[in-house]
Amino acid sequence: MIDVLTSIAVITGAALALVAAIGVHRLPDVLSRMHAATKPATLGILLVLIGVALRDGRLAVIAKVALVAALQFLTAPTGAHMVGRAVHRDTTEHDDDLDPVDGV
Amino acid sequence: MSARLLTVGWLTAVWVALWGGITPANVLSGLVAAGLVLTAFPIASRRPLRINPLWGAVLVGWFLAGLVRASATVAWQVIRPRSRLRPTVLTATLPALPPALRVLMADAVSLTPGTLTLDLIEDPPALHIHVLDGATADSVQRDVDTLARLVQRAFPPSGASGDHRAAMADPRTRPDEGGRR
Repeated sequence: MIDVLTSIAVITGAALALVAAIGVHRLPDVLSRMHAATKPATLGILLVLIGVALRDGRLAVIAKVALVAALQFLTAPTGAHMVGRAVHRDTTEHDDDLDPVDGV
Repeated sequence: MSARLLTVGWLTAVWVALWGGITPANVLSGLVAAGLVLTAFPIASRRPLRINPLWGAVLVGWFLAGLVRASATVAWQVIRPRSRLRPTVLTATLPALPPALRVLMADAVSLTPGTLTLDLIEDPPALHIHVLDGATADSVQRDVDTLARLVQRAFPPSGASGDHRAAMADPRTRPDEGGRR
């Protein structure tokens, strides 16, 4: 049972990480790409971590996994926020068009 | 002072978790490390946030559900063959919240469906939000309002004034914490 849950969690998580990578490549501009780099990537890492915690089950490992998850939830949106803010301020200083960042 | 002890406590807990075992040596070195970190990098505002556990759990649940929905939405937008994205930038107003909760709001908005925080504006408090799928300003404002209400219930205002506005004041101007930056 645990093996099944672990497999589902890890495979779904890895698939989400893959989708995030494809999204960063495929979406049209920096800000849209940040959507892909935050949400699916964060959930993907969370699922892989849940899989690891389920499979291992030792308290020491679960504590570390919880720490990784907490830091991920703090840093991923903050990083996206910083990139987004830089692009936003850079483009809105000149004009309201977001296209100049396309293809950067 | 108790807030400082609390900070030492959880920093030590993080340290012990990193080492992966509760031994006297780990706890002692963790206490030393926490003390050093707090001395080297003093935190400007140590006003502790009160947490309502029930609404805190509701907030976490709402957030996780939002993250799952957001991931599914973005995943579909990424892999669907012909993309019909209408990215726009909107502004949503925020209620008066202490700085830590405004940061929490900005982070949570980034991880919930369709929205990404670009900028936090101080006066009046508002968020610049990037929307991927052409959601309207009204619907985004509704989502932000819902989140703000949950955050306010999960972290009820502390202090005699009973209002988050009191905690909005710049931490540098508070007498007990002046000059600690």
